[in-house]
Amino acid sequence: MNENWALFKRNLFEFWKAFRRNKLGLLGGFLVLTAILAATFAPLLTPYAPTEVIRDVNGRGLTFAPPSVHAPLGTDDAGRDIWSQLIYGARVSLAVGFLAGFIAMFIGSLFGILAGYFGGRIDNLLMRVTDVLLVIPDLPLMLVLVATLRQMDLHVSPLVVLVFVIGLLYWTSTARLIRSQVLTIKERQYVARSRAIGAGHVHIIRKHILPQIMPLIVANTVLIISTAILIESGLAFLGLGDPTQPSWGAMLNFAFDRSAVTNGAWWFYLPPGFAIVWVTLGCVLLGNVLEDMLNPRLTAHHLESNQNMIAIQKREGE
Amino acid sequence: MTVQPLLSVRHLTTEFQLAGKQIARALEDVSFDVMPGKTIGLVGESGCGKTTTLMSIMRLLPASGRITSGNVYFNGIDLLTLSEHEMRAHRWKEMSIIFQGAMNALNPVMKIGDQIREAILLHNLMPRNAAEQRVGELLELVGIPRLRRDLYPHQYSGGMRQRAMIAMALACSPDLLFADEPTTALDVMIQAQVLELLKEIQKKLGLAIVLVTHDLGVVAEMCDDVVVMYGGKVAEYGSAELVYNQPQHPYTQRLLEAFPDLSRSIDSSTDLATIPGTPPRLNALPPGCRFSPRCHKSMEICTQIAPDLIAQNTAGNAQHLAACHLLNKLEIKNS
Amino acid sequence: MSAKPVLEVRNLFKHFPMRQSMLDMLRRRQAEVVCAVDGVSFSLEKGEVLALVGESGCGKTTIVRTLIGLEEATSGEILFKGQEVESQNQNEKNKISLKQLRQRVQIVFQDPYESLDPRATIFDIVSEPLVVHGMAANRDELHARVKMSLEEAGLRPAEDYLLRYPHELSGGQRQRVVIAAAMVLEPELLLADEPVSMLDVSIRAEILNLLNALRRSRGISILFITHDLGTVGHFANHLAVMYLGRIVEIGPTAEVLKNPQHPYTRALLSVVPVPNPKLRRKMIILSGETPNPINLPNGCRFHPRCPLAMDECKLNDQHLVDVGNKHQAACLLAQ
Repeated sequence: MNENWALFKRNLFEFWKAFRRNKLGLLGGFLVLTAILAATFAPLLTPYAPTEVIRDVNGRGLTFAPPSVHAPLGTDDAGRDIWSQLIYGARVSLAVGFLAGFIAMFIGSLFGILAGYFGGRIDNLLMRVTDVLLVIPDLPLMLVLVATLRQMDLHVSPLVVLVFVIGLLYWTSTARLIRSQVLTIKERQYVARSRAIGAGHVHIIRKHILPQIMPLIVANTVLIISTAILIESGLAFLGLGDPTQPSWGAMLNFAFDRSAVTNGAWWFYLPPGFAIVWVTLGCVLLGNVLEDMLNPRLTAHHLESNQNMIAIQKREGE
Repeated sequence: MTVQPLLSVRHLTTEFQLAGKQIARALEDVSFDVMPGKTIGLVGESGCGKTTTLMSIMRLLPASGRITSGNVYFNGIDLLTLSEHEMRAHRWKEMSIIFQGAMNALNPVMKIGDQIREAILLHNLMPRNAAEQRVGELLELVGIPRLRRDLYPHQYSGGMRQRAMIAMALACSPDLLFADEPTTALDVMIQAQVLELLKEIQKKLGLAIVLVTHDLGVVAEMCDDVVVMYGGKVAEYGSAELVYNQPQHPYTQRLLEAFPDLSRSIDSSTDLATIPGTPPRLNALPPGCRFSPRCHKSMEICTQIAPDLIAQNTAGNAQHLAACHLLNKLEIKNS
Repeated sequence: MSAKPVLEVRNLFKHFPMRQSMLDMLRRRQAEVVCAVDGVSFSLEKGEVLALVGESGCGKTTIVRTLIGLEEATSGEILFKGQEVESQNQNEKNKISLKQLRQRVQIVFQDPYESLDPRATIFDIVSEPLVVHGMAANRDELHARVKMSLEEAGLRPAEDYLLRYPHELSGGQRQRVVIAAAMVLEPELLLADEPVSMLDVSIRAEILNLLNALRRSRGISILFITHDLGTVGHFANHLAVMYLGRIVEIGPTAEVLKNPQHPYTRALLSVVPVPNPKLRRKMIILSGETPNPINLPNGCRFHPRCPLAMDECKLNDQHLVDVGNKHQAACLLAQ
């Protein structure tokens, strides 16, 4: 086990060495990481609870107050602190985004691997399902689904409904991507070699296919998370979120409902919008960079410096 | 009356900029002559600088590569002093190249005939129907029936594609043809066909050919002169008969011994000669002679000082040079 | 006859049906069939090397894939040490299962860049067969056997290589890893599909020597697939020349090379480049390429390209006949 750990450390170190040099990737990582940290340590970062109404000396709610020392980003129509709502909203937005992203990634990878590896009928069946999902317009479908599911008295939080609806609808592009990748890997000679050794399907998928597409899956997951966050915001903005646990989209919804725009209360609608951009931009940057970097290096030009290879050769020369 | 060389490469040195501001000297002090109508072979293991030599002469180096010194005279003109525009006129019209992977060098969605016509029209001010006529001639020259002109590359076999590549290279009747591993990916019979075709064309058109390959057998069959390269330098250079029959450089000797030769012996009980280790990486060249770490005759001086090319005594005007300290020593002894 | 041959192939056929268009299917037209392997028989004794030589498309790779169960034979028998190999995991009695076969027969592919998983370490690659077959009781044993195999394949010290990735190794080192992975189960038969054709001359010699050493020390048998007659002479005891899915000539290597009977063998032999410009000789260059094995010609399948074809050849599909010294050829002219 010891050398596995050493290997892992070496890989991680090399990854970090390469990642560190990539400015866009670093920026993306920073954006995502700050959002996650803010969500995790929300109580420490906020002066009020998100639902707490700030009152002035007379006990009246401080409605539509511009940013001040009491409320760093101002207050909403009921006198609640925007900053606190924003930080707590990160919890909802990120949780929905990550959970839905993981569900989509799991289904997409599973279908993609099964379809690509086994081909034939399984492939046909899975890909036709994918095609059907791909051609139905997402947004109307989701609106209908969420609305019907909420009327069905399922006794679950509306957020759970959102997570599943997004997760179960957004795996199609992943499945297609993974499938095409698996199709090419399947034809590689080392897979034939593995079969010739006598390895079974599970072994080949686990040892040869998965490690190859893992980077793709990771990068794709990050990208899907950003989509999921956007979709969640969209749905919440349309009033399909959980009103008791406002996410960024729900905040925007409130802002428009309570005519923040006509009141000139920019601090009400700009911050949540900005937060959404912050996280999705971070995810997209990070995802793209990860995809580039983790792509399996198959060829090394003979002029490229490769410290390890030189080391071996020196020893051989001795 | 002496014949002037068609191409004369003098002290060519090429460097590559690597990641992290490292510099790799891919070629150092490479010199050789190509006579009109003759074939010269560049041989060596992969990574020894054969292809870099071609690309330097054609001035088609990738952005990271730079020719730092030397001259390349073509018909007396130094190609390295030409502007990019003038150079472009030389390429294809006077010197053209065929590559190893014919499939990659051909446009998959364009008919073979159209691709050849494009090559003609790009360089010659020729009316379209005359060019079309020329396409037919070229195809016949390389042994492809005219009727096949309207096929796409994937409808051709590997050997046919290589023929089409040759036709394209001949489009502007160049004087010099570079062939970069033209037969490496082909079966032996197809290889023989392509080599035979090159010989025929050379006879007909009086072309000079620079043949780059790692296959010593192909060079022996085709070439008048041979340049053996190692680690970006010329290890041995001379007429093919001398280099093959009296190899002077230990690297050439070992390469020849390692080559399975049916004419020599048929015996599976003895091992083939091998060269231990691998060719040096160009960014980690050993000091002194570049072959010294792998050389079975390496001496102390070899690890310190790089040997110069030393001319061998030859009968007639045949040339033979080799870069090895062993030869130097003998010379001192003799004198 | 004391011991049974390690491998015996009797009348092996492998036909691939062509994909039909819907229209043809409706018309009930007979599907066209590619006869990749068309009645091949040979046997391989313990500790011997049999070379299957032929151009691409002659069916040699299909034979290998069929032997290891990557393809299913259309008909014919494959016997491993006298035991028949079951066709597809059907658990027939008295037959050796594919899984057992794959423990005792290993394969080395042509391209060392393609046959190693780029994301697996050398340890993972070499240990894979042991893991798949559950052959190592614990991690220590696994380690010991992997190390032993690597060192035997000439990668010393093995510790240096265990945690490396394929892209950190040179072509020769990679092919050694492939061989180490094939040898770790201590197979009795090695199927080598063009193991050296992608490698440089000196590395090629090393790998051939390594295979030879393994044969001598372990007594394994090797079925060696190649298109290059040149490498065969030094390596194989027996030689089988294939053309269009059939063996056209078979016999002891020295005998076949010195006294080739079939015109195809003679042609193949004549185009092997000889590394000596003084020994250039007339090549017998066959025109065209190996045809597709879909519409086989009547009579001898070589007659359309045969320089010696007679009228009889168009009618008579000659099978292998004995010409003495265990040497057989499928030609009317063979004596």
